[in-house]
Amino acid sequence: MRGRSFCTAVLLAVLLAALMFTSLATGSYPLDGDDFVTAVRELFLPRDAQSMPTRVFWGLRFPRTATALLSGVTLGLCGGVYQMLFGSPLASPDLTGIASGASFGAALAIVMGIGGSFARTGFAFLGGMFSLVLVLLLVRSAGGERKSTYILAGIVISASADAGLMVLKTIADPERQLAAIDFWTMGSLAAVSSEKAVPLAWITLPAVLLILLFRRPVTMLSLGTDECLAAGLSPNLWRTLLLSLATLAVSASAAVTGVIGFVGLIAPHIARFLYRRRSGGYLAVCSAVGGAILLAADLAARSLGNGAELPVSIFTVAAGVPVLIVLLCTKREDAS
Amino acid sequence: MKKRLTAAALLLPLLLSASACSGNNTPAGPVTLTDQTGRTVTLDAPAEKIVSCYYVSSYAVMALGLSDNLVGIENKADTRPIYALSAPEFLELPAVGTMKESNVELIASLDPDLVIMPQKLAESAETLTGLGFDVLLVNPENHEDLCGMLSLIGDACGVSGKADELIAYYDAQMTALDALTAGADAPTVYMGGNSSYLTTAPADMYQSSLIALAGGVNAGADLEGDYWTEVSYETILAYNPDVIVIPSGADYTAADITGDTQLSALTAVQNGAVYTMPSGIEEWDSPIPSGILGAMWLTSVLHPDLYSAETFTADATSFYETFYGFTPDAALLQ
Amino acid sequence: MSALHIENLTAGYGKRRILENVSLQADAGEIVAILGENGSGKTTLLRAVQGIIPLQSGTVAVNGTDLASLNTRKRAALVTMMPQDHPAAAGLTGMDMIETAFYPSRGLFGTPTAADREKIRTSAESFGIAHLLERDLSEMSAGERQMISLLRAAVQDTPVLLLDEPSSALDFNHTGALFVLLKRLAAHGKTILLVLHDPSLALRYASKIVRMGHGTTEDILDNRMPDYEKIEASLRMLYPDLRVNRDPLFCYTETSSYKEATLC
Repeated sequence: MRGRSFCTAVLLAVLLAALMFTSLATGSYPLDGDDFVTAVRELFLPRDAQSMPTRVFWGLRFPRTATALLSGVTLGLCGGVYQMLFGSPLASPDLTGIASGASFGAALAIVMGIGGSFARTGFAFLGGMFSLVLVLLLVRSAGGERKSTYILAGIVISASADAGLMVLKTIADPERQLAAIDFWTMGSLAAVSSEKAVPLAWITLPAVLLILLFRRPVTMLSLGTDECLAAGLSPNLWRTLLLSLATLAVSASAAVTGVIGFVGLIAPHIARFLYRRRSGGYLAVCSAVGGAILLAADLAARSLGNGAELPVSIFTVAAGVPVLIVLLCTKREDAS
Repeated sequence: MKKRLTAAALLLPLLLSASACSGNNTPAGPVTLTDQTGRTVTLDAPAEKIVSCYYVSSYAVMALGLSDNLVGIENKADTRPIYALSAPEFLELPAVGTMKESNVELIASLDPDLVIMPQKLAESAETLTGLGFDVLLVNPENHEDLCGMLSLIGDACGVSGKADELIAYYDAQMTALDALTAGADAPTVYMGGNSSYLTTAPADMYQSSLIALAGGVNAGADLEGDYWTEVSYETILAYNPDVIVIPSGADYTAADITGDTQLSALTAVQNGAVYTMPSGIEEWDSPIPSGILGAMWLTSVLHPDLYSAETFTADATSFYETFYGFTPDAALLQ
Repeated sequence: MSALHIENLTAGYGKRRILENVSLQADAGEIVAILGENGSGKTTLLRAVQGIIPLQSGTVAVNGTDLASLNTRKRAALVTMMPQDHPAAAGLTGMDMIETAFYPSRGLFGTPTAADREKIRTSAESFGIAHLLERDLSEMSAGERQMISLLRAAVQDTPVLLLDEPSSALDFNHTGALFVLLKRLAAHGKTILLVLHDPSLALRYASKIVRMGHGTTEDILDNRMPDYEKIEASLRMLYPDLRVNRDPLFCYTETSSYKEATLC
């Protein structure tokens, strides 16, 4: 057991480091070894005094790598939290309608013609959070705190947001707005810059750290309501708290990158295969796996198109499906 | 060089109006056509009542002098400024549908002699054909197909001479532009997409040929594809274009680009060479009957010493006067 | 002042009342067995005491502290419960499950110390389930999960313990071990309230026997200085053919394979 955990940790650390290094070294703007050294030396210079390679590195390359890592970590971690909280191997951050709500928010900003990418980001974030509030209200008014109530409420809200999205797509101008909506719903890190990465880090980093620190309540919630109460954990309070934190982080990341499919679903399954357990370091492994998937997918998205950016979801799904099939065929049935 | 183009521009309307007299006298009788999807359409007589389900074909109807014959038009006609300028009656016509869907019953109730639809509406076209209506499917995605569409509509409505005049004007202008910019330095041009300036025109897109015609080099020439392609900030920085062009229908402005700190180091931004294609009349960056003006405008932007803004304004004014029958406000042309 | 003091407790699910005016007292060191037919409100009583379902009226106090005035965490320092259903979450081990017992007492994040883990190992060993600590809950039998759940409740070290049918899935040996453990806990001053279906176990180990019916305590029998005729008469309301034999009619003894010496 100990040996396996250690191997997993080393393997993931090496993989993440390698992917991050490759990500920092790959891009359409030519940067060589000297440029990286210069970039580090010029880090604290005012922007105007920095050389062009330094600006590219700190303004674009590094923020993009950090965003890929952070968004992947967020999706993987929150996927793990959702699967444990709902005791369902199918649970993912999309379940509470975040992806649909965020897409609806972004599409609304686009169709209403509200300015630049920052307004779009804000609307997407609000859309995601609004979905969560609606889901929680629905669960509350349904009176049930069962896991299935959450899942049903999530489906209701997702479906409503999707219907709203379809309405928006119908009235959208096909040349400009529809194309923008489509780009957004397929996910991309092409537009990431330091101006977007910094606010994202301010929201997701604390949320991710808090969830990792509060991993024990996550474990306890997966043991059931009665066990929680007997051991002194208020299940409703903590489920709401953890879901809100997870949604906050996922909405923030979706607001910057658009909707990225499958990472939240697949990362916890890979983590479970690597780590076997769902306690202790499991959520950290989920995070690392999510980060690695998105870093790799973004590398492919930016380098396979000869300068053109491909939707990152193509690669997360392409990587996810075979892994899921292999896991399905080799792993014994999950009792949960 | 400059003289020659001006002379051509002055001569052309004269030439064209001369040929226009003979062009409209096509004899009545059955017309058999092959549309742009290969369907065969036979009309008993030149069409009198036309329904157009696509703004590009509506523009063509206008440019061919058939505005009075249109009885139905695509949705959102009020978003196209040219209608109010050249054919205000279009705004009163029944709206028969979008690029995605058409109201087949409404079209049938208008009892047209000819329905012009984009290729995307092939299914509705079959339905209408089944009802006994004649439908032309058009697909003007590039300059050749635009000319093909103009000829088709001209033939179907008995105004083939008018279509030939337009095409002759294009040919003359293209030859003139080629000659004008031959040997001049070709600046690198980054053409932003309609939805975001982080998308650009790849090699096989119409906009790419437009840049070449105007004596520029498309920054995205290495990109494959024929539709707006997403690129990253880094890619734009690596291209470092001399000029950035924003298409007429863009969702953003030049201020968005010049205000983007990530792009502040670009040559184009430093030199203030970020231009928005005029949008007051039509979308000159797309294959529409007035699309040639897009190439001419871009030439005046890239090579002002060879083809001045004033000359362009004069040429564009005479184009609209000749083919659309109105004199545009000079402010709409810049 | 009794360790557990239940007074005029009324509770139910939503508007439906299941318990009506239940009053019950138990001192430190007492084992109180609740007997009753299915649906008589036994489980609901335990859930109401633990605070899983809200009280509609009445009070529950532990050592003089009204439980309604405490939050979930503080309540879990005074009373804990072993529910009827035992978690089978895949990927969690017996150790993971038992560790949750330290959540109320180990700070904000509820992380157990090395000493806590050592205590779990010692207790598991004395209960004969040390081999289950590293096993996945989803790979355990119902009885094994029940023992893990029981150990979690015991390790939590609360003055009052509520056990819902703790022996329902246990084999003969472990049932014996269970009651040896309970007696040892009671000897250390714990108050134990447990739901049983076997009156012989109640007679053998409980200090008080509560007969429940129709959502209330129909009879509370003292089993310390037993009046067997009275007990027999009362329990016959529940089990018409019951015969109480003064000589032990059950086979659980302290001299069975689990030695009291190692457990106490």
